[in-house]
Amino acid sequence: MNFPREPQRLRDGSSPLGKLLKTHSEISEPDFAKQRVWQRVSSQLNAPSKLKLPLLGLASMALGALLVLGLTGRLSFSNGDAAYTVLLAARDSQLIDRVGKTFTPSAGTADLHFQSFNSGTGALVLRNEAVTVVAMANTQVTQTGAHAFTLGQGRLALSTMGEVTVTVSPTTLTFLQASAAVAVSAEGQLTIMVEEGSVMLRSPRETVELRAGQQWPTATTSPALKETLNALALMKSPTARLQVQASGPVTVDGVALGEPPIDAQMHIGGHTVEALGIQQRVDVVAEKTTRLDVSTPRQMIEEARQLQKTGNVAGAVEAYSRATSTTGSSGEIALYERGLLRRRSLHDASGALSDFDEYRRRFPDGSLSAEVSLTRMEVLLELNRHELALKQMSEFLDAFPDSERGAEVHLMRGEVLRSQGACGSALSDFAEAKRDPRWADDATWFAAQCDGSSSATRNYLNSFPSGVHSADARALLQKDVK
Amino acid sequence: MNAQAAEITTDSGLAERASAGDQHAFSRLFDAHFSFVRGVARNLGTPDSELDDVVQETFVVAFKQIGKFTTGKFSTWVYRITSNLVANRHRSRGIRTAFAGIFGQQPQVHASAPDAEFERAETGAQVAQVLASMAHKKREVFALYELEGLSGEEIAERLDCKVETVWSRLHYARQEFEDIARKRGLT
Repeated sequence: MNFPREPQRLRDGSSPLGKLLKTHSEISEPDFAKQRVWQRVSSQLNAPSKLKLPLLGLASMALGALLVLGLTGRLSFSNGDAAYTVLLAARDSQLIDRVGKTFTPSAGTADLHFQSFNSGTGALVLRNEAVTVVAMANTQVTQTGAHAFTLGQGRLALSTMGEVTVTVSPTTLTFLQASAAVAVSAEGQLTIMVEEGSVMLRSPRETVELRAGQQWPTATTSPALKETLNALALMKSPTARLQVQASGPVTVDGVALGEPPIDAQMHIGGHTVEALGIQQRVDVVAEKTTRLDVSTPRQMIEEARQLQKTGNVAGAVEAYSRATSTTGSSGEIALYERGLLRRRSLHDASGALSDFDEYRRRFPDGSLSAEVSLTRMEVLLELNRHELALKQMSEFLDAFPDSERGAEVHLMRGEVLRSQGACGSALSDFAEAKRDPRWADDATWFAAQCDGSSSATRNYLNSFPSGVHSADARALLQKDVK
Repeated sequence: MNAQAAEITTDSGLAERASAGDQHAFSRLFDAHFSFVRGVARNLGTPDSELDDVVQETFVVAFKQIGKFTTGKFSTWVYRITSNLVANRHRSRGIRTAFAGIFGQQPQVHASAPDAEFERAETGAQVAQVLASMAHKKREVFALYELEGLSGEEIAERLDCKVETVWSRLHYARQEFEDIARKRGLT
């Protein structure tokens, strides 16, 4: 058989596939990715100094357990042209863990959203030129007085709060909460240890430069700067303005403030604002006025969708969060949508699961019950909680026997059972899934896998000669022949 | 800055310096070939979320094995490393990826991308899914011809095979690509 030489490339044609390939081949590799990856490569070429590990390890042991609430932080960047990588040191392990998240500060700032965690400590390691950390302020006061953050996958970080500004010039900065001897919980004492390069510490009144090997406070640290930073570490949070626009009386943290417009000084951090019978959690942020327009739940959801459309996931999550406390369909939608966002965009399967669990608790007969059940079982699989996932699948099949997605669930349950070696049970699920043409190919293949015989593989190929798994099936048969 | 490395302009010269432990020379190789490696990884069906990992692994392997690069083009050599790493990743995806495929989940797309970028990323993710489902050898030829625009001779050199083999593989690769794309509702 003669095969065509130099055929016209698909991407030069006008077919839908050609257009798809053309778009794909036009994707360029961004420069910020280069910088980010080089940092990771070079850090592997230069294994970190062994001296660094015990420092963190000791700090981790000394700090012990912290109780922390969900937090939000904000980074701002002094150089809008560069990308910055925030590396988070993992607790009790490596000094520098894998890249936690990279921000492209086209807008000059990036919001960080962190999950809650119950114990542990760590360090925020900022690598790059001229990174400025500001206003890590809208956090919750904790028992020990520490500020801690996690960023997915158990990576976590500590930071101070308030108006402290740290400029890093080019260096690796490790921000360490002080050891127990410094009494974080009682004194709020903060220690900053500089490992490489130089670090500028700025308070509203003065600036101190620290070089590699130095730590703050030093013998020459002025009392004023020490007081400023210690005060911040003590979380004597400064105040900022909160403005509320709504109709009807407003209460903040249970205190009636009368009719709007409200313009009040509030301590930085989270406050509960109630207006129009809706409670909202508001984070008052340092150095700027926080404004709150009380919207109807439907407006909040619409706002969230608009934000989501423009790629502002953090804003969308926040908008959905405001609507989740409402009853009725808006509360349902907000919970479900927030769960989806957490799962798909923030890669936060645990957070998504808690949203879906809350949905099931609050809306046992809700209009989105089927969707929530389906997504919940997928999340459980992502979290490797196979037994719970199996339970959820069975519940779904019982509750929604005529669901058009029933075949998918049968296929999924069959695959979980097969992975557990329970092929006997799996086969009946595959038989159900085969009845739906959309899943017949996969179901037949997985059933053949259960069977394990060459004849089952051949049967699959006879039914689906160019099926999704046909290449694997042929390879398997060839292997058997050999 | 290493003055010697700064003067060297050829890949082989830089590789020689890098094999002697000159990291600056290696950083210049990284700089010159980063886009190429990332593009190869993408075109071989690596999801967006794993691109950086693949590029990182490729260059770390390249640095460790730089002494083995003695003749030929650096790009061809680093292509083989990338291709092997991508193939290993495709092979080792476990049950979770299988489920993702079963349920038609799209690979994660960076959430904060603007609209146009988001659409491109979505297209990239769709193509990546199809490529990831293809047999490795067919995927390679398909990507090199259709996405990277290489000629038959260039592909043969890159893959160390005959030109006739390129055309036969391409023929079957196109069938497979179109078949999978059709099943995924992309046509």
